[in-house]
Amino acid sequence: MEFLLHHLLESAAERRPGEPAVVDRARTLTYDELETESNRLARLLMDQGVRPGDRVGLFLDKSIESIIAIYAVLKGGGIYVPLDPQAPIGRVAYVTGNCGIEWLLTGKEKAGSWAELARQAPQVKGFVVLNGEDRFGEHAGGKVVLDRGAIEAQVGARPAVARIGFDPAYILYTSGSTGNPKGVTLTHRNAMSFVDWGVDEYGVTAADRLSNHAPLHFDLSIFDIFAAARAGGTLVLVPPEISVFPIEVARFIERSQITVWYSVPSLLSRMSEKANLHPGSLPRLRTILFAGEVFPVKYLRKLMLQLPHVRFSNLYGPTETNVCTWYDVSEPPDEVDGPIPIGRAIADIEVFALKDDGTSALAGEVGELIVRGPTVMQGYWNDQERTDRGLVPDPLGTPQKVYRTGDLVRQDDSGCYRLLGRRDAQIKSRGYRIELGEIETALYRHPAVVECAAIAVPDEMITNRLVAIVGLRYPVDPAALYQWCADIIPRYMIPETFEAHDSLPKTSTGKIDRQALARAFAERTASAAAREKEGS
Amino acid sequence: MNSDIRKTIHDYVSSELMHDLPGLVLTDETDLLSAHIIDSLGIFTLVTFLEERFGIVIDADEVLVEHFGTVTDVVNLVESKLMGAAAQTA
Repeated sequence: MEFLLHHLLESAAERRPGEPAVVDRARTLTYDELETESNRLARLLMDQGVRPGDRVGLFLDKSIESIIAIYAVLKGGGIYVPLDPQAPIGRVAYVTGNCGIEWLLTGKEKAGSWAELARQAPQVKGFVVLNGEDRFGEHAGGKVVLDRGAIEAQVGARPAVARIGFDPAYILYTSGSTGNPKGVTLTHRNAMSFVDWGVDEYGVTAADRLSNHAPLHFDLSIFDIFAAARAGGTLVLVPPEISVFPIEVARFIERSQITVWYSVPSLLSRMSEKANLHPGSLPRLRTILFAGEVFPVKYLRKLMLQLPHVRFSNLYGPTETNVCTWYDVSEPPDEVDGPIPIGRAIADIEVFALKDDGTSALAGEVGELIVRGPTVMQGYWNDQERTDRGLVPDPLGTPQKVYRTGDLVRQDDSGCYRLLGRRDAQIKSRGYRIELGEIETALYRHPAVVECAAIAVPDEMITNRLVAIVGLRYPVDPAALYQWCADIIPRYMIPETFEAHDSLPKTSTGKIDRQALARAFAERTASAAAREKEGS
Repeated sequence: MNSDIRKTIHDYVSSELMHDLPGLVLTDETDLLSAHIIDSLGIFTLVTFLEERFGIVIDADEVLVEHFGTVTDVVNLVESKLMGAAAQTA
């Protein structure tokens, strides 16, 4: 019986050993090879003292080795922690320290960062270089470095490590409002429950070729990797550079014979505008899944008219719940109907809307979306306080803890939920979840910043653009502020625009009035656009 | 002409698209994609800049890796556009 995520690989390797498991550009790994390679790496980790429950970091550009690494950590009983290879090193070090990572599975392309990471996260014991034949000792600040030779010296037989479905399998770090990211800790069973539903609902089979577009630290990757293994199908890694070019993405889907595509809507919106798609394009593609942000109806409609043979499905769920609701878009939607719903609960999950008075909302009433069931996380790593705020006793009285999403919803007459907004200052941009407070914390660390507010300016294509309004002690060039942020937070969180103001408006309680700033910014941009139009 | 175009594009990329990449020196052959200089937003900023600055039109089906892989690729794209325009007016 398959109750751990790596059982899915082991079972597929027995059923379909010679079939392609992972494709990355010109390279293909069969199920048998993926199984053997991950067994070897698991054994190496165990030899180095990695024990069940230990966290192991993945610090490399996405490749076939990343997939081997995921299975190796799980097979050794560990918890895999995908680190954003493009994040500033201070942030990578924070995550490494926060969950006590001692071993990192890395790639030679990151060699320049090892010494600094080891300096900032002193508990690190060593690095395993998954794609290097050479010795890399001088890069690692005195830590152990093992390379391909050490992996190949291990036997390929499956290690025996006892774990159960309630044990954590991976930790995904998301933006945190107090300035540091928080580690969403998910178990084998959390993921398995969602993957089982997805494979069944979307009829994924061994004949399918599933894309992996999302980075591995983004929870969309869970479906791609493990649904492919569950079905014995093929996982096709999308080279990151082609995502820049919608037309190249379309060609890639065609050339790689992708049948199931899953990504954030912002890429799909750009494809609807720029990829020259038309009925008859991408004949092998049968299903497009999207999640992470609202898909603007205008572009969704356009893409559905361009690809009438494809099933479109909206998946919703904060990382803390994997996916908890879904909505099949059966007809090209009409803009007058507003954003498409997030739909209904997936199998074995209960969702409901809770009103401020603690009672459950009726259809038509607004409430916070609450989730109960096996996809709901175990908690935030090493942070009981935040865990207790997110996971609360069920207000409806069942013995399980439930997750408060912070998303405001309303159920329509057909029983589908619609997303209305947030209870707090969390926003989305290009599918990334961002706490405005984390950006502000980064800015406050700058010596010139007296006060600041990060605001989200709605944008049709990427959901929100980020703007920072700052009060400064002395003049600072916006480029210098951008640079400052780039050393602390990932690129997708850095404001595009920095505006210096003498002072920032306050609410009656003395807090900076983000809403007033957002309104004022929108008015200024609108009148500037109007002036430009008049001038031309 | 060539060196002016090259300088304009080089200056724009290094001043507008590389704020978060300190220490990286841009050459004409730097891989703009693998170095994460151009991302999904940056490409459209760059296309808009090129269209406005050089008075050219870049079609959606020209926004490809082969035209935006390096500064040299971008220069070649712009030059071929400008030559096409010159040939038409001649």
